[in-house]
Amino acid sequence: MTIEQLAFYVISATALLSALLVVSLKNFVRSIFLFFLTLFSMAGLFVFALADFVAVTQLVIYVGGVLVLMIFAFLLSNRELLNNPEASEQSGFLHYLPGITVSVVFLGVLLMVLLKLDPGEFQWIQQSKENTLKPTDNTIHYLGINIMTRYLLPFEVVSVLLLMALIGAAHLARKEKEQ
Amino acid sequence: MEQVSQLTEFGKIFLFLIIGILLVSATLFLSRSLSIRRPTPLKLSSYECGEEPSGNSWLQFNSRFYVIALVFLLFDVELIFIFPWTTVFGQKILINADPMWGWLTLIEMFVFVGILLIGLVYVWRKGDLDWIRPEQKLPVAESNIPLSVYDKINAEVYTVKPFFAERPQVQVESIAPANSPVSKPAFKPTFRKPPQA
Repeated sequence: MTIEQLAFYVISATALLSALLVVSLKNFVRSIFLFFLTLFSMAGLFVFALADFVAVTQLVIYVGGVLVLMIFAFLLSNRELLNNPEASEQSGFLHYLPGITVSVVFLGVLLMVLLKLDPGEFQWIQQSKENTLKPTDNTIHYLGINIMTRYLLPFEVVSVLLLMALIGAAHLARKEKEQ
Repeated sequence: MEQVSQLTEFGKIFLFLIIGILLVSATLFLSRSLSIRRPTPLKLSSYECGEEPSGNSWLQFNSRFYVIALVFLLFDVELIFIFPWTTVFGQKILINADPMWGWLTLIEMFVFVGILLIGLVYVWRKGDLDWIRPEQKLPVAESNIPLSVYDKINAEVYTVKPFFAERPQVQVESIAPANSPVSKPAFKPTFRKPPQA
């Protein structure tokens, strides 16, 4: 086992474990701080897919932006709202049964697809056999050229979308204050 | 067999950083999971330099932080789009291939940033970025005394009592010596007992 494989397994194990803890922990603040770990290890997994840019994006937007926003949501909220006693009373096997059923069925579907699928039968997989990334490729360079040529219009539309999101978010956040 | 690297050079460094962060978190988690925890109400109370803490430490923050974080997030996304552009903008090979390349990319980016700047101007004009400033309150004294009274008092001349180095002879009552032993100021530690159930 090379050191890269070791790193891959460590990172994926951390991602899975911390993600499981995030959804199972009762304390919201702890689960949010564990979510940091999940996102960091997800960024590490993107590196193994030769997607360096996506990994950095993950760090900048999710760790630097979305999670900070989530933490702010906690700072702004009331503690009494979070300590909901009714939620903790409902526990036991019956309470978790729907969730367990859905996840087991989903796992079954995934396994079935994996076992029945023959990757050779799809044409687009056959065609893309030679068209793969190499570790020496400068992916961000390709990204820049593609954004500036083939995807120029979507690129500009994205700015309008971001503008809409900004104005909408500011409007919603302000409305609550005026009441 | 020559080992072919499966990672980009940048990816290797990035992995080092991420594994470093993960290892620090793993150590913190380990120390938490191995330590013995026997909490008492006294241990769980927050340390306030010997004072008894009162009230909750969970404060409700101003919601303006949230708006600013939202605005930051949007511009964070914008930054992600600018980053690939910087690597191809003004590259000599591309400009030599097509002389308009540099101008095209420059104008497109100006349009992109310009549209987002409208959002910044909107937020600015609507006052979302304004911080709450403390209101300055000038003290006002309601009094019916006209200022000329003070001027009059200030204008008066006061004679200073003559001062002599010798103390005037005054009969001083002697203080009776206390019977109780003199108590020196001392630190007496007191321990608060946990509330009995």
